[in-house]
Amino acid sequence: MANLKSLQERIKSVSSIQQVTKAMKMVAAAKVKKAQDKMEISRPYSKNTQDMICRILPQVSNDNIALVSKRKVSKTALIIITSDRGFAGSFNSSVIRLAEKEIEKLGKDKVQLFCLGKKSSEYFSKRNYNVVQSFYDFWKDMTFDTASDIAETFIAAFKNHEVDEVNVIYNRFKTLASQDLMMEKVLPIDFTEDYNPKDYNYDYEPNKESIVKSLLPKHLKVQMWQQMLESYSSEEAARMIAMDNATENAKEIIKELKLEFNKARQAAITTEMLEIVGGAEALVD
Amino acid sequence: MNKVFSLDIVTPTHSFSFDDVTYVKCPGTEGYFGIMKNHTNSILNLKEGVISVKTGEKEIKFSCSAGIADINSDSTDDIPDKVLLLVENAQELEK
Repeated sequence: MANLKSLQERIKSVSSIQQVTKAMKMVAAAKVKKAQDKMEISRPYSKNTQDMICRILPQVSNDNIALVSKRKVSKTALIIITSDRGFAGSFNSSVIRLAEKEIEKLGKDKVQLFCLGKKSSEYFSKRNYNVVQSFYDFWKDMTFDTASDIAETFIAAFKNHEVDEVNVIYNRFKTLASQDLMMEKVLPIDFTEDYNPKDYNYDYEPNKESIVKSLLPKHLKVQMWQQMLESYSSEEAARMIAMDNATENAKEIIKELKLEFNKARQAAITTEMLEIVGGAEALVD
Repeated sequence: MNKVFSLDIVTPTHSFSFDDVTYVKCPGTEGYFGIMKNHTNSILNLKEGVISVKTGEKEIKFSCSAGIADINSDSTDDIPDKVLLLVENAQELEK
């Protein structure tokens, strides 16, 4: 009978886990939708900023603009975007793996890390990598200001010649079931210049150079914002799929346990019947 | 002649659109300036301040952070004038 009781308890605990994973899946699905809406809203701003830069950049000399000038790369900054929480399949591990590969290629002492999310900052701090700054606990109520602050830190590092190149490693949202692992160079900024003679008839106030200089950080900030949103939607999508799988697995386990439970119950009944019949026969004799 | 133009105030987190604006006052780096239809094509830096938008009788005010104004007007009247204000933050002010 002890077997029956323990089986019953296991069935109960697996079904409560199933309930939790099911709820987590629904929550994740809602968050994906929210993050995607935010991404949609940020698009016009980013597109217009980029267009404007492409139009003005060919008209100014790039030498005076720090954020576009290329220099010899001796120190590289990697911005690694992961989540604060797990339960999202291989979402974090794939980012960390690519980052490690990249660090190995460049040399551990030549890389400065900016970690976003607890997962990457814990992983790299524990292993004595050069983590310059970590940002976490912001995903829950992420605002544009967070992205703007992060962008400002790496812009400052680039301007002060602490790093000569800045790359971002993150998951880009593709579909609910798949993400693209991306590595993008953000600094120095590369632009395909868009030459249009009409732009020369524009009035620029105070002047072209200072307009470009104020546009470039804006572009980087909104780019950071979008990359964070991409990563956030990928995270929640990955969590949704992971939790969906967990729910399915729980269902499977419950089915198996129920079968086992019924077998055990039937066996117990059969033994009891045999005992009764045996006892009755003994009385007749 | 129709004296209205379209205006978009675009931020990374939301945007405001107007189709029939007669006058906009913006905080330029060298002081406030006004935009009406047929303004010269220009791109200007904005500093934080108040943007006032006039549509007909109504006037709507926004507080905004620093940004850029892109004024696009065509001498012909076929293509409507377009003014684009790119700011990091804009909020409608209560009356």
